[in-house]
Amino acid sequence: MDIFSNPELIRNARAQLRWGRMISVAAICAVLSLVTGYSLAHEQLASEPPGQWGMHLLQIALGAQVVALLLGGSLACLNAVHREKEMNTFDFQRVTRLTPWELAVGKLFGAPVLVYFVVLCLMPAALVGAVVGGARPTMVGAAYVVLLLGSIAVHAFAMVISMLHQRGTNTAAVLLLILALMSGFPTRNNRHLFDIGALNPFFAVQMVEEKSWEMVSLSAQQAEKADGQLSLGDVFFGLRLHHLPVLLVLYASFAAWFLLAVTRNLKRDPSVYELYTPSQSLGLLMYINLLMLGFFRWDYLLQTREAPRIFYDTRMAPNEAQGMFLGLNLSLFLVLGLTLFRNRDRIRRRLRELGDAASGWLAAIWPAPYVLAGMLLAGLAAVGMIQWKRDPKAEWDLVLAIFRLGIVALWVVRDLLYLQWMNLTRIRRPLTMGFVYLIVFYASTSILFFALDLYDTPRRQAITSFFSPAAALGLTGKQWTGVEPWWLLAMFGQVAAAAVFAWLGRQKLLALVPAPAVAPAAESPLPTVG
Amino acid sequence: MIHLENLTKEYDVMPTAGKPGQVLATDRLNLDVAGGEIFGLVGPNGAGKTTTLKMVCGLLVPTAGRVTVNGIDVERQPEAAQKHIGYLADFFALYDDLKVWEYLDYFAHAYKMEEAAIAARIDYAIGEMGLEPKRESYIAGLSRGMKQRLGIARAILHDPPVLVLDEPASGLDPKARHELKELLRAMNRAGKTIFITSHVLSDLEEMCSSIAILEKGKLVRAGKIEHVMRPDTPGRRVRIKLAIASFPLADWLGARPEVSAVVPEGNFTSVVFAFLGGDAELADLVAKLVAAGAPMCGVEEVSESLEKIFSRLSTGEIM
Repeated sequence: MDIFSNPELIRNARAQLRWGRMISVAAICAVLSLVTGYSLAHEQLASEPPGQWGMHLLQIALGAQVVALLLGGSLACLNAVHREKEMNTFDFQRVTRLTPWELAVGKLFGAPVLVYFVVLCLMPAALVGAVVGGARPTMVGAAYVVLLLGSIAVHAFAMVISMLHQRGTNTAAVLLLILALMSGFPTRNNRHLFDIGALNPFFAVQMVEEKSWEMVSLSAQQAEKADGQLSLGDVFFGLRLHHLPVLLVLYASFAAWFLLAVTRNLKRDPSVYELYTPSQSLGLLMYINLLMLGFFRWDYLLQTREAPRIFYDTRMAPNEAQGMFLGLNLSLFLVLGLTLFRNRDRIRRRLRELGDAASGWLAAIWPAPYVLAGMLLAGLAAVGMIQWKRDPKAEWDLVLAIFRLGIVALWVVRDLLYLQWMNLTRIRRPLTMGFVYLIVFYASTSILFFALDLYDTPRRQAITSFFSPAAALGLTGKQWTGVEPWWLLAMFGQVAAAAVFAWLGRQKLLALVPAPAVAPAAESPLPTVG
Repeated sequence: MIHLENLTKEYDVMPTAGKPGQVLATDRLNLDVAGGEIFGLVGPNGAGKTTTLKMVCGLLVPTAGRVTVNGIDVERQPEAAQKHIGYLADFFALYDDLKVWEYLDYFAHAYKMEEAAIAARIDYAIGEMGLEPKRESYIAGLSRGMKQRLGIARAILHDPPVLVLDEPASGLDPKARHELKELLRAMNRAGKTIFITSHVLSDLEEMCSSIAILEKGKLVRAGKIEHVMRPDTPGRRVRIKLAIASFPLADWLGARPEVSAVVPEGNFTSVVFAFLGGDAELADLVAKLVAAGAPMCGVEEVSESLEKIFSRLSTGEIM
């Protein structure tokens, strides 16, 4: 089935693109384009090259297209599954013979079909601007590829949210969350930590101004001050790559990951949703780690500072670099753990299918093995890179680095086992409540530790790490030497706490074991009919 | 055609005072719906009817047990099983911004019907449901009854051998309900197996060939309609009415060996009882009663309505 004969796409197009609405949208876009174009031409400064207003028009039209696709398209995709569920129409789609892929693609392009029409209506203004402004046709074409693929990736993410969206969640709040996430993407050439250009689809607007495909080679020092300037060159494990294919590969790969989650689950019973298989989840995190390690500015950031630190100097000591990777992975693996959690429904089914094995100790420590293995794998890769790239003069202790990795990995495991236990608790929104209690715990301990001056000495820091090992992220040789037993005790504390939560989780599993054996059909209360 | 084996669905609700938080929506259901039947599923709200139907359609995954439709395991091969099912939910919406024919066209393509057959099949479904005048109308402008018809048109569009209908008569006026009944009968005559739930028990009683009664997720009674409707005591149920309560009717009947389960009614002017015997024996009993001086004014055979049986089952009066 090709995309244009996809029934879901056609349904959306029929519903959203009625003649009256299309004419209104086209008329509004035409008026706005004409007014903007005329104003820009009228306001053209004598100092500017002739036709510069065209470039401004192109950028404004393209900017409007980016905003329309990112905001309007994301909102439409956010409603694509969620609203169907609320209307009780989704079950009818689920019982059709559309494959999850066909349904997902139909919704991905169908839900925002009106927004695509708006983009189309703004094309004449953009093209006129491109011609008058003398933009490079290939650059303009590439900008639209960036816009389209970037939007698809964001829309696919919105679809994942829509699928997981529960009743009572405010769509606008979710949209804000997406925008907040997107605001974290570099929109310009912020190459402080990673040698990669802008990741936001607004990069398309900057691109059209470019006259050359050349990768501008910025030295490390220049790059520090180059915020706002465009460089089309990225560095991946020392290899210089053009930013455009890098960006397109990133958009395509993340869109594929998001669509994989959607197609795996879209036609399933929501109570047994499982975003990814454990191996797929681990694969996704390893991919993100590969990107982080590959684009990290090893050669510059791990240089020893000669001069006093200035505010834009982001160079870091090896242990600071490891702390940064550990911090990033801490969040990533928490998310991985969340995707692997088992709810009560899944536990019941496993208990019926697998019997005692589903309530054993191996089941009770789920998802710790995957998270621990992944965290150690990713952490060791970072340690290996630092070991290789560090300045030999810089302070670096391999044993300490491995200890740091171990305690942080166990910390993640401890909190995940707590959340998994909470997830099996029979309360309203158990996972949300689990997070709330966790936040209260960390906020309270931080306030108390500050009030009691427990961060003052290395020994006290080690003691606080029994409860919250955040201090381990920046642990240096000075803080470690002499108090090693305390730190080892703190590490053991994580294991002990994890064991307690695993035991509590096991009690929940045992409570869900069906008491009576399933009666055979012959013992049904009444004879069957035929 | 539809086979339910130990079908169990367990889920959580918020525990409240005195009530557990764990609910067995269906508890080890065993049912067989034969091809060509109209099978009614009856039960109060929360009995597990909708959950059962959703599991039959592969929309909910059972906690334990399995469902097969036409021999296909619904959980393992949902898409293959769904090909054989036309489903109508109890509360549903349609796409208000589509026209009637566009709505059916969407589902015809979603069911991957032969392109050449789609137009004719849409015409057929529209014609069967009496929606011709509304063909070009937007769904938003349809009445509740018309929307229900359109929902059924969608369910029968791909010509499935099994129709799973959850409260199809809800919200319909008496005329529309009657039409729906006739339509379902016609589809059944055309060979469709219909698995249906309804709160209007009299409708099911008229329509269904078999019935199952659910109570708190458990199967209370199931079988052919005449089997389920048969009284729980042996023999036929008979009511005798007296003009005045001047004769000890219950005592007189209670002493006779062919009579059992004597229940006086009203002001002892009538009695319902179970009678073992044919028409000739009943005539003999009546003659003896008149000869004994009972001021008789009526004899009738009593048949219980499904509603009555359901109510007696629900209150535990009969098991």
